[in-house]
Amino acid sequence: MITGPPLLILLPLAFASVILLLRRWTPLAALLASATALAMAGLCLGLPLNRPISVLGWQVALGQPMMVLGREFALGIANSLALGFLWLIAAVAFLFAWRIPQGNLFFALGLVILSLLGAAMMIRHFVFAVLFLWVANLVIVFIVQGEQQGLRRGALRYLVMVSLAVPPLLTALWLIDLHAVNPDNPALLRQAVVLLGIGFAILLAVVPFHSWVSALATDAPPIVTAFILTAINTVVILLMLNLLQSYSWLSEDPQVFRLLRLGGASMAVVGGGLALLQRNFSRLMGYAVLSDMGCTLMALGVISSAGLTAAVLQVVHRSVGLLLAAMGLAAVRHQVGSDAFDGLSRVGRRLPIAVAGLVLGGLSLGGMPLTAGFPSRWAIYRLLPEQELGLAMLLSGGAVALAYLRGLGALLGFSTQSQVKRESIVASLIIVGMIVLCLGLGIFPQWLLSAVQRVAGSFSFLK
Amino acid sequence: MPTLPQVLARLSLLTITPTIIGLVVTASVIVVIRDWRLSLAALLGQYVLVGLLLMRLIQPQVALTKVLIGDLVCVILYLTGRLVGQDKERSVSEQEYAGDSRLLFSPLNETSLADFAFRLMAVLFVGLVVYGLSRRYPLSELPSDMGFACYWLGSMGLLTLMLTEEPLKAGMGLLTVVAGFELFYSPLERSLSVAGFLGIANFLIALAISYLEASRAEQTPQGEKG
Repeated sequence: MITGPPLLILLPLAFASVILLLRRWTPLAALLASATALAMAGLCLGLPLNRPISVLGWQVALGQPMMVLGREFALGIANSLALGFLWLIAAVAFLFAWRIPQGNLFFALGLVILSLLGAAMMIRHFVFAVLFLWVANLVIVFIVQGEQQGLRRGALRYLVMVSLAVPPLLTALWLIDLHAVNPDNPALLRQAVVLLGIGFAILLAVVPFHSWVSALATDAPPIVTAFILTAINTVVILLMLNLLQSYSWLSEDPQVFRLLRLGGASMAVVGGGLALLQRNFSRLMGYAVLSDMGCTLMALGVISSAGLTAAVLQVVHRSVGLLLAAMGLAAVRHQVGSDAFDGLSRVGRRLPIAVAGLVLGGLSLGGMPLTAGFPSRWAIYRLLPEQELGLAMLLSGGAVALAYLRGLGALLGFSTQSQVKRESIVASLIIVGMIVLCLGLGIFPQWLLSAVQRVAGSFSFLK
Repeated sequence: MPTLPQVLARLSLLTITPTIIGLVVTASVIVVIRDWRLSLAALLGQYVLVGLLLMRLIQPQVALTKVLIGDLVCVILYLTGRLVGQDKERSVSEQEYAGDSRLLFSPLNETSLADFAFRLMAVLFVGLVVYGLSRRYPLSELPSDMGFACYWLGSMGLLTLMLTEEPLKAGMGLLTVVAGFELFYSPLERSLSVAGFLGIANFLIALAISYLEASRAEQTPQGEKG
């Protein structure tokens, strides 16, 4: 009988090694990577966790824990749904990267990264979860740089920031263990909370540790940016929720949640404010995501299961909006070679689908009505206890939307520039599919609500 | 002839103070000296000295493995630096052939002296802060002088990261931070799996730095030609 953890960790690694050899044959590598990701998503989302089932003649027990070197790996409901969702996003991203190149390493290393992130989600020991996350982040540096010539500062900054987040997290976990032996020393827990705060603030790009997000968005290929921001943000939030679930002293401290709300508000304000100043779609996407991630933290800071549900819903909806915006941006950048507002006049008429995807994805990141970003933002706005935070969130979303509309104005403007080539049909079809999904989730948010509620319901610390 | 573990075991009998002084010097060299060869030699020395300190606190075999991983990291960075350096030299000699001989000379001019002085001042200033921090917030699980060494390595690594945007140099700064953290963390978390993960992380950081430096170097000649 095969248990879930080795299947979900080793299978993608095996395919990654094959794809690495095939990386020069982009269509083959893309299709194989996409098929692998789709199969992994099918395993995570389709198989039951509570009983073994026969798959291609093999008995698979997805929910069965496994011990490796004395450490337990196990797949819970939240992990399996989150992992399945990430594999789905990866499948679409790989398929799109077939037509709009994002670097030959993306396919193989994308599988490796998700495999490592899966291990970080499944291992029950936090120290090793942090270490798996670190190793995954180090692999990410290679796809951020890709085969681009010249140093990409985003790659270097990402390497430095994610590495600097690890020492405080590991030290905090050691302090928590130490407190279990010395329960009379509350100072240990205070120090642990401060260190956890620093570590998570870096990984979640809380102001003033936010600069890596815009650097990443500027320097990495757009689909790679969307993939990284979606995957890392999801795993870090799950890790944080698991910590809150495991340590009641942490989840019972209202200051922790207040800090989450304030950190989120600072991200929303800075992200929205800086988005408005941008005249470049890459950086604009980075700040739009920062603003949206801030709203997620605010939702987590609302001490209620409704807040948690809204936060999880927003992570899912943001991923759709972000991937759509990134696809549009990638298509525009691929055809025009630039993403600065000034160089994109008349592009809207030659690349209507890419531009529609780019702007609609951006509006979704700003939480505009009828887009995927709206329902979760509205829910968070209604849940926030402080009116000022709600106002900050609304203004931030408005600023992001305004910035994208200004970009649309530039895309539709008049220019005497030479003609731009037409869009790729496959890429356009994928973008159209994502546009339908983005609008569909904006109009019928209840479609994913039951799955989101299952994830939120698996964390009992707020009940 | 004594084996490497025997040599290291004998060296670990040295008093702590010279080892700590050695770490202060090597980490400072990484910040102050811009030449990558000297900085890399200092990084190599740093790994050996950290290994010697760790031998007092953890299993000598694990400490020795950390030294070997450090050596491997330095080899990766050396090969990268040499490859990139050769590319740069080739590019400069091509330009000299084309008549631009200014690029061949890199005298110790006023700018580099001012840069050196600034870096030295920064090291002294941060050093004072580190001394104060280590006295005020000692790392309770370690002897006080080793706690100072952890603070020193962490701070000097961060200072290096603040003062440079070159991947090779910034990488040495990051590896210095990680070395300082390992000096603090390894005696606390003695699991071999954790030690293995930290080794993998060091190795991957070196590879990532190497990849970024090589990518940077690929564009430099084109930029110069343009």
